[in-house]
Amino acid sequence: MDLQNNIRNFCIIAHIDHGKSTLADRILEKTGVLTAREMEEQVLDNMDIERERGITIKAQSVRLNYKASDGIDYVFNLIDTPGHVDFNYEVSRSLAACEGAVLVVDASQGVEAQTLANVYQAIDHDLEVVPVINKIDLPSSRPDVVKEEIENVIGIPAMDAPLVSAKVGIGIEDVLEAIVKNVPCPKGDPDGPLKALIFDSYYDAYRGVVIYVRIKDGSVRKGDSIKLMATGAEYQITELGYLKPGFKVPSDALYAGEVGYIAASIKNIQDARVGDTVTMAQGGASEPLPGYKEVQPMVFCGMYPVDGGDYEALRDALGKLQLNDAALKFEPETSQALGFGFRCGFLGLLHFEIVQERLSREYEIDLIATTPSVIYHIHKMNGEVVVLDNPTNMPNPAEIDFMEEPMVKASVMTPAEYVGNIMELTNERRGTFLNMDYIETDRVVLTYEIPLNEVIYDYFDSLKSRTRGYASLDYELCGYKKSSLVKLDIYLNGEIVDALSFIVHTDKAYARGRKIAEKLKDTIPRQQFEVPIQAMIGGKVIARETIRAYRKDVLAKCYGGDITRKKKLLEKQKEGKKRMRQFGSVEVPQEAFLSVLKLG
Amino acid sequence: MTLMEKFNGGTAGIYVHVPFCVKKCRYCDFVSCPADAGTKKRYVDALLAEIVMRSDKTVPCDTVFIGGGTPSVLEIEDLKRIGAALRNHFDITNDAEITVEANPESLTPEKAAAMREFGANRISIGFQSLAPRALGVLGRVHTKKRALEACNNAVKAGFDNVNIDLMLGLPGEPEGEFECSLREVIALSPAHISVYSLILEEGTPLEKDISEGLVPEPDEDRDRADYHLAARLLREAGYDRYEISNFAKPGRRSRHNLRYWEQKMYFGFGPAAASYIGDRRFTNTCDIGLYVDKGGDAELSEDDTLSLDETMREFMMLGFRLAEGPDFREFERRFGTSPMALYGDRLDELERKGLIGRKNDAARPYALTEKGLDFANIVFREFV
Repeated sequence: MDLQNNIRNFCIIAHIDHGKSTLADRILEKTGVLTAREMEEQVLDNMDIERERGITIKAQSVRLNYKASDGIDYVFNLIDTPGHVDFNYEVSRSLAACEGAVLVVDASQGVEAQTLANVYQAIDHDLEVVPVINKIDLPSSRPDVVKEEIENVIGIPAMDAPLVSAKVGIGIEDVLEAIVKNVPCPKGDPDGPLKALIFDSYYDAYRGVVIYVRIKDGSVRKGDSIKLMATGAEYQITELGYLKPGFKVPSDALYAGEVGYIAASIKNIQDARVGDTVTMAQGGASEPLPGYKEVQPMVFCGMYPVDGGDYEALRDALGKLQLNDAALKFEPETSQALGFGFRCGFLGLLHFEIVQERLSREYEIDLIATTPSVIYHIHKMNGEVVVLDNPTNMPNPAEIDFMEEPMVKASVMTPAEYVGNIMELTNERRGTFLNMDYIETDRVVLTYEIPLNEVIYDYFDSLKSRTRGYASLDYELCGYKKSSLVKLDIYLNGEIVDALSFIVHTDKAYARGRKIAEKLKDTIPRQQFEVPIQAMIGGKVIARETIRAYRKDVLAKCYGGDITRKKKLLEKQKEGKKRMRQFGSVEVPQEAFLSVLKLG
Repeated sequence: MTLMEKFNGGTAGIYVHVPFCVKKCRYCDFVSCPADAGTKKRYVDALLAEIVMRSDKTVPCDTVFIGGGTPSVLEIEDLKRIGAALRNHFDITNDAEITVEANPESLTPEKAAAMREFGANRISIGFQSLAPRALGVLGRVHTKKRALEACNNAVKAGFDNVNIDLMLGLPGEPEGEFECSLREVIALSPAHISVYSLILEEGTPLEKDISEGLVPEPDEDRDRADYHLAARLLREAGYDRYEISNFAKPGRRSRHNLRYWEQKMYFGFGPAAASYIGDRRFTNTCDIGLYVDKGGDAELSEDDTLSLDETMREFMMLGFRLAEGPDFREFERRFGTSPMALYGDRLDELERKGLIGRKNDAARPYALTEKGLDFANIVFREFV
């Protein structure tokens, strides 16, 4: 009887740019959810930022109906996943809601670093991987080679993999049939106590927090009282149903194996944690589903509103973003230089940039962000270990026995000709070479251990530019290592600017300090008095620049019609001054912070 | 009190813009360009149409300023037509100060005589510099010799009220270059001298060259040193600095320009000319072609109605350009409230910063200090 036999829950995984979103769109079109004319390109990438950057950040989910060649009507739940290494956790929780994963591999590019990382993650979640070779319409495509590569490198059968061009619309039917045939149906207990995995959530002004769930066991109805197991909070369901692209279809109940949404007037966004298990308030499951883990941010920085009056708005906005972004962490902090703000935790720099962009676009808040930092472990002489994510709180060096920094194991996949460039770059970044494997005669995987601190700045960008875009990167945290680190402080006019302090490896301190001092000299406008910029370690000045005083600020001429024009000029200058931060008596524009931040 | 009196006193000034030059200077961003005789004539036709259209004999006009561009490039006939139109349609007082701007290359004895005939009793000649190097950098078309001749032509034609414009803070200016020009100008003993810093306006060829590194950036230290030197030399020569950039012998201040700084009424004719009437300040189109095509009746490029608050702040801002500072009594007379009551905190703060100082003068209790003259924008920004 089991309804579950006709359900297929799957996601699509791919290296960035291998055509995941395009394939998803084709599947939507083919299953009649959307006609070609209704299709807005890449329906699943909703956010402007996602479209502009061509990446998926937020997992989306849709229910589709497909009549297969065996004559049976199937229900497909497609759960889209993010594609950037920063968003691995989002990938993982989406995978947990599926039984299978369609692996899209570009017929010209072949297997890439993230392809591997994603596949291993899918296999960790016991998913059946269904390979698909995409972009076969391109003249450079070599599907047979790529199939072999998949078999050799990943170790899954690929000879029958559908050959597809998502762009042109070739082979989509084959993909759907392969899903029916190869993705197992859900095998939950329809009569057991309710267990539903929250794999996403968002805030809706009318419904409260709306959660996206995969029902593993049991069933749930409108009006049921549910419990969110991590916090124990209980709510009554006001609405539930299925997800279609861009809209929701309410229904009476959701059953084992199904994917849908639940609204229960959840007001507290902290209650609906992604990865948590939903069960019944009365007679619910005793054990939650496995796999829920608190996401650990790896990069921290302070975020401050440019206009102090926006502090509450910033708190609000961060709260709302956090609801859809389990990885974003924040807590209040104050800076002498920047006033009231928040210490925020991110998965990586891309994540940080996206949050910053969303805050300014969606919430129109102007921000100043401090230099990003990883989490250091500081072992003090007295045996105490300090976990440090804010350089400002660094203990006195005299009290420090030694320090440790987080390390990542990074795999870089590249055409063999760029190996030299990558080695050079990675050496500059204090990387330790671990291994080199040939995937094909002219493609290799380099494995390195690199301090995370070195990776989070612009390692990925540098990698791309030194390999003409061919190299791909994946990394995972692999523990802490003892390292020779110092705190570098920036002084303006003799006063420390706490927001610009950061921790750096001893060997790089001098160069970094000098670069920052130079950059500040370029970006801080001349003041009425001379302003020394000093980069210091402990009490020692390692770099110094001076911003010369300006000698005049006067409109020499002002006649007749000029009054309107000159007034506008003065108004503009005044507006510019408002956007500056006052450090002691020095005025520093926001751009100065950003330019230092971008230095890496 | 009428709106007009409240906002800008009881008399008016007239400004006429002549948007033509022999050649555009490299630093200039005014509305001006070279033109042939036909273009100039059509332009004057449009200008006369505007003057007729806006005819107003209700306010006595006691200053007239023909500026540019270069009014001395106008044909003598055209100059006469403008003079006649102004007298027919406005109430120009017998003692009016009537200024015409001129550049050395076009100020011939005939032109100077025609200007006298037009009624001009004051002439403003744009020397900018007498150093060949500087004239080259600025893209001026005259030479030192020509400049001195032009001045002589003016004096011979009967002008006893002559202004000479000089610039300082020029790119690559060596020490002494400006001083040399200034001393020669002082030796000519004109009634009035304007000394102002070069302003690099965006989009001008000079600004472009500097941003591309082809021409060195002006040196602020040189600029200030020369400005302070000018102040000293001119004081010693009997000139009084009555505004940031303007120096005059006793009784020879520019009444027309004072009108701007004292926030009094003016009519402006010609492209890009501004008018300030009652609480309204508007600027004509900056498009010469459009101005001519529309017979002097093209859409305005700016049209603002100033609120009382804006007007009061502007009064302060403009007043601080004057060496004597803003006239607090006039302020009270016009607006019925005192600057102390409105801006006391700001004035205290500016005084604390050393930018303005107190004087023993009940009507004008504050003025820019020496430091304030260098950083006057900080004072102005307090009032915009």
